[in-house]
Amino acid sequence: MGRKSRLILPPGYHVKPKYDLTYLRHRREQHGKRSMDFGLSLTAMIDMFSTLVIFLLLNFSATGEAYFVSKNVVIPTAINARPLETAPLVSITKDSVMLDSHVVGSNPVNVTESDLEMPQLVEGLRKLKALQDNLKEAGIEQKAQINIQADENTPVVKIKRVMTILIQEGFTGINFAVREIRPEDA
Amino acid sequence: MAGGGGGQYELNLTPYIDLMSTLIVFLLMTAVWNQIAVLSTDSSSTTASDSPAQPDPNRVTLSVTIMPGYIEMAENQQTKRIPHIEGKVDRSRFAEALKDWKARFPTRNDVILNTENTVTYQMLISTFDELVGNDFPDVGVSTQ
Repeated sequence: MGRKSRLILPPGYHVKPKYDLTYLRHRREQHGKRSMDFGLSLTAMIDMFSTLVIFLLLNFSATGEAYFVSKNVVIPTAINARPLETAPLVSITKDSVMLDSHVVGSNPVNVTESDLEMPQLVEGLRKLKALQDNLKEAGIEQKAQINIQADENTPVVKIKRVMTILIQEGFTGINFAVREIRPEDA
Repeated sequence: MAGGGGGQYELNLTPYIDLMSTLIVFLLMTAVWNQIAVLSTDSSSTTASDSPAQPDPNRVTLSVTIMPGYIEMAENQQTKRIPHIEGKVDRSRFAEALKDWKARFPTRNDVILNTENTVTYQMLISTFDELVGNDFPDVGVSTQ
């Protein structure tokens, strides 16, 4: 019986190479049909998410302020600094003086103690002062503070020149922006 | 087993991934990449002229002057020089001298910081930093 049932056989695979690539052959015979039963492996993504969240939480700082550092400025370092507070920012670069990213003065190569005229800076500071006075009248207390950022190699005379104008215009609380480092890194 | 579920359970990860994504976006947006801090000087006490107080003749004026080659520490007219090392402030010797000042004037927190015009801003900040670190937080930076 068994012999009779095998008399007529459907034509099958006849090629008999030395190395029969069975898996590839079966794939070809499926005519590109894929199994619909597949699952996306989320393990790696969840691992990555968890690592990223832990890293960001460790670096999270509740006291920091968004702070714009000019492209040409390398902020000096300090150990005993205190947290930055929001205040108008004066940036002193090699060529110019900026008040809140508006150029308000130039920095010639040879600045002397008598070069105190920066009319645009004075005008900008007076506008700020007027705004602060208006806020004060509205009951919002404003500190007469200002932040200064400058490149670490800037000659002090350029800083003093700006400081003199700031004090003359009533901004007596001057904060020097520094990059905080740990004592062991000093 | 009677009443047994017997099935394969899968944890629903959708809320977890939602939470993680939101948290990552929030933390990335609020991340502070620059650790910027400040050293503060307040010149209001020196510029206020409404009711100038008479200076105490016995009060010793403590001042530090940064020169290109050295730091000069002065108590009234008595001065002491600390040479720089490789163009930088000798922080250890300067700190020792400040500790000596603090031991002799324990109630004093104020120092006047003078600078020669050509010294760098980094040197001003280093000296300021050392003063604050040695219990002289009230540093007045002279603009003269």
